[in-house]
Amino acid sequence: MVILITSDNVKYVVEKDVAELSVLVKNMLEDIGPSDEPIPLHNVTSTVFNKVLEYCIYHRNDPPPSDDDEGCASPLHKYLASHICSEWDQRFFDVDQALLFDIILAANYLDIKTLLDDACKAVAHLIQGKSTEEIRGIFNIVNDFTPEEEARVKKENVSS
Amino acid sequence: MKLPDDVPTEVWETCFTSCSRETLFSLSLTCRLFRDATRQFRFKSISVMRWLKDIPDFDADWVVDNPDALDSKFRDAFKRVKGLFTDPRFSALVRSLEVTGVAFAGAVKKRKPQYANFIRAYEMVLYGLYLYLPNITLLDTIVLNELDFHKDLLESLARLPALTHLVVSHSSQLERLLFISVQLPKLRITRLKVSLSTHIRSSIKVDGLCRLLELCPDLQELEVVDHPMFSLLSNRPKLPAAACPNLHTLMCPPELVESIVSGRPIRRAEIRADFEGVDYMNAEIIMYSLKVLHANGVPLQELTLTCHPFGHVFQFVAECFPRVRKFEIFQPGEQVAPVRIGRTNVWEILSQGGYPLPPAIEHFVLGAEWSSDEQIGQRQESMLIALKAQYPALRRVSTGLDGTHWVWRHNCWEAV
Repeated sequence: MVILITSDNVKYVVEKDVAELSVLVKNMLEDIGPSDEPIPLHNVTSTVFNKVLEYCIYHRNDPPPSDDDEGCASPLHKYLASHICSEWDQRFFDVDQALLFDIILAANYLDIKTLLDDACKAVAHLIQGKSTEEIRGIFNIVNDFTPEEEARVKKENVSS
Repeated sequence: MKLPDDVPTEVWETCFTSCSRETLFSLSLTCRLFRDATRQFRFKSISVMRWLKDIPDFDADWVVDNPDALDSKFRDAFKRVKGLFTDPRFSALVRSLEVTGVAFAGAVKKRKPQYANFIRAYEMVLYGLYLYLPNITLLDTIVLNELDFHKDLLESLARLPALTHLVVSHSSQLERLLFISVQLPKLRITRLKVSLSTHIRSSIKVDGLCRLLELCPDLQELEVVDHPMFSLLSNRPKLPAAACPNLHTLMCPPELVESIVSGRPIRRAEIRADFEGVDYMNAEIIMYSLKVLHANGVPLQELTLTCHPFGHVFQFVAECFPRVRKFEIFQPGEQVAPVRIGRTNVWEILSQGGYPLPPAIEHFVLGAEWSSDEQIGQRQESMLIALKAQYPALRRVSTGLDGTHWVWRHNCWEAV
């Protein structure tokens, strides 16, 4: 078992194979060797860590990401691979936007690649097919372009 | 809510990798941060003929009727090729390039003098490509549609350090290649390692295909999309034994298997039958190509077939390729099930061992409309459990064309 402490001082006792889905935790465990010393997670609150833990426990037995569907795969395989997303994952990421981004930042900090990739796909789904104005609305973006810069980007897009 | 600045740029980039081209354009116009974060994806793929708008399918008649319009469009395209590929900011971002030529047959046949202008302008576009192509140092994929091989183009390709995918879409390109290869006997595209896609239309083109493969000694994967027009009984040229010794993935029509497979360590084969043909004929041709693979002792681990899954195909695969871990059968379109399967449920036959699967199978796909969830109904899960009992390594099953994928997880089948 591994003891993890979140930034708001909540203590978690987690099975080692689950904790080691985080590359950050895995490396820290290797560095300190056999020890009961708790590992502090400075950038993750307990609210967010609860979600991260839920994901890691559910996916603990998953095989490592396969190369089958990348690179050499035919268009038919690529199409099928891009549409595979479990119902459980869809429910898991059905959260408010603020929490979704907190999960992303935690996955990035803890270095959990599958969680980061899946959460980023959820964000991509959020903005897919949206107009510039709609995306600005979703992320509270203020237009910081000068008219010349905006015209230049439009020209770039025509060229590509 | 987090503002975009609160999230590291690399995380945004991960989000943007799965966005469509249109969404990327919308994102690029929101703010400076997103403009910069999307740039590498917006310019990842360049399609030269996207610039030539208002040309309906490059139809030969359209070309004949609108030579002047085409002339000005080609001139514009050349300026853009030159501008883009000589700008280090953009040329450093491009990974994929698609170039579409024009079928000149109609124009040449009518022999009208005004075509000389646009043919010259078109050649300028090609010239721009040959000249500036080596500037795109990260280019890994090039798609040539309706565009003949050219001595300079081949030399440009040979100079691209990152090129791994070459897609050729027209069989006349292979004829042209045969002609050029006489002029350039020492040319080798040594870095082409991953794939080659091409259509091929007649047995004479198999020579061209073999010649192209000889140019690519490190080729590991070959994909031929279209069907050759020759029978199984004719004498076909074969790829020389020394060419492509590391070819491990072969995706092609069954007629080509014998020309290519000999002495090569094919681990993954995707054999595509012609859906316009007769079903039992397809099954026979596929069986023949499977026998060729078996006779050559290939170490097959993954097999994909596009045909009606007649029982003897299952039997042969299970007996002759015991190391196959992934076995897929696809039957696109709305074709009806084979007679026996039409009367009985296919999964029932499989779960009762009526059609055997390879003993080491881990992933089985039956992609046809008639094998979808709706057709199978409530008993699917119990049938999958029966399959698992016969094949302990089985951990993934897919049903229907784009239907359900079942994964063995926590000791039960879960739909994903």
